[in-house]
Amino acid sequence: MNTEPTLTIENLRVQFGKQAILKNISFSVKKGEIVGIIGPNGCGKTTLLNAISGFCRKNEGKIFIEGNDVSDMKNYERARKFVGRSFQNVGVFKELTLEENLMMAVEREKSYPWHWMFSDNHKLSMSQIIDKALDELGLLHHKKSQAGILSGGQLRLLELARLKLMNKPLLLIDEPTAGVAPILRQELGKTIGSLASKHGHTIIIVEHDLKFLFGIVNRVIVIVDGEIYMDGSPEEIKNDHRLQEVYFGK
Amino acid sequence: MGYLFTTICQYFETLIGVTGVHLSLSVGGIFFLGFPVTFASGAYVMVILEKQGLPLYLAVTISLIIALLIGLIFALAYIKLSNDSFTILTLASILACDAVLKSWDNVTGGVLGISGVSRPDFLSSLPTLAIGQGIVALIILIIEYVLLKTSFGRSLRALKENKAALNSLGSSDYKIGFIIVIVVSLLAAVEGMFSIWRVQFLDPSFAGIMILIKMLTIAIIAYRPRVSWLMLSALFIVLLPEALRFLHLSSVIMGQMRLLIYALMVIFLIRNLSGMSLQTSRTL
Repeated sequence: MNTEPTLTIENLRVQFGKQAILKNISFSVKKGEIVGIIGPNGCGKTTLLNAISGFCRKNEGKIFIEGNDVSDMKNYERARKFVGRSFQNVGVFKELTLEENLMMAVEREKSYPWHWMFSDNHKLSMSQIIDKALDELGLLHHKKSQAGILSGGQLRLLELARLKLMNKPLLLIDEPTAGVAPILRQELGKTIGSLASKHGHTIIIVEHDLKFLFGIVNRVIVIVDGEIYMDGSPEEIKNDHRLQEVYFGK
Repeated sequence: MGYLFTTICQYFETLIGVTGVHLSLSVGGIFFLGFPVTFASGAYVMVILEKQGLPLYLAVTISLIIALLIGLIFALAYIKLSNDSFTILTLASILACDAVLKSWDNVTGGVLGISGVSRPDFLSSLPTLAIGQGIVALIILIIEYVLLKTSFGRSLRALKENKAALNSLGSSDYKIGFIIVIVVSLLAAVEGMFSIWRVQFLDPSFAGIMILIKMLTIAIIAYRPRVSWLMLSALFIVLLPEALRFLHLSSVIMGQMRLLIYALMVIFLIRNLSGMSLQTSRTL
């Protein structure tokens, strides 16, 4: 695994009013690493993803992605250059077709929006990319259907496919198993794993299903009351009695 | 024949203006209600400048520039304000515009308005005006059709559904809204100019809440991002008053009935537009 950090966070503090949600958060994530963020409800996991992706303002601290200070970048600028993001409540556009949802990820890479209309090659290549992605999900036959017809699990898979097509170095995945049937969780896990192992993405996952999470991550960070409480390998965290305290009380 | 061409002109000019409202409200879910202001400014500025002796092309150009500037102010408000505040501000701007038109009587003619507005030579009759409007409406509809198939069109549709997810794909919801608010303002100004060439008389009742309700009703019925829905919806709303004529009611009651029907449509169909807004706030 490459040791160059994709993400570095230094002394991050996020406040909503006078309430500090994240306090003095500092850590680095290496390229190709899959890091799981866990902790009790309301401890600041999603806020951490929001701060990294620019969806909430930091009060103090610095965020570097691939060595670039993104602390003051807007969310869409971070998304264009560095960060792919999925949401707790699936961020797929249900009124757009599956094809259009994926097109939005592919065409963002292009410099001007009219390109695909005038270039047959581009139309063909985009179509092939999208067909391949949908075929891998087993959803090719729904290509022209609105995404609203998909089940919760299929929506999650489509969202992950979109992340893959965005092709950004850092992917932030918020509760991927929420609303997903157990039978699809294994597939989700495989897809997330391949994003790091085959495609070289660095991934941060917020997840409550510890069994699912420990099966796919290289490292786990436990957040309690907005601060990093534990940071280690899945084995270390799993065997640490403090994890029991965090989740089930003393 | 005059009645027929008047109705055709009404339909085409409505299509010109409502295309912008369709893009903002039905496609993008942007509750921009200030288009009657640029509708009025488009007509008033052009007529006032023409009465001052400016050539038509110059009066039209200046009128469009002023509509663009008003649109820019609205667009800046869109960026700076929350969605709710923006909607209320744009709604209040209609009342402010009405007050200005009524009280600035040495320029706008006050409540009496400006009569004897002449048409340009090349659109001097109703049939030629209808043809001219039809060509402009067709061009605008083709542009909307193409636009909806572009990356910008997809982003606009996505904006209605989930701003956060749109931003996460690298598109700025503010930039998209900024552009659309200006487009709506300009198209409303063009509609205002064509309308005044048809009626040839201008007073403060020309623009205002009535045009707002009419356009909103059309946009709400045509809530799908399809040009065909917009055309049918505009046709329905333009022909509705004509259909009501067959009831042989007095003109006062008919006017009220038409408003009542529009209002009922707005009330019952508004959920077509607002249903997705909850999802946006829940996404994060």
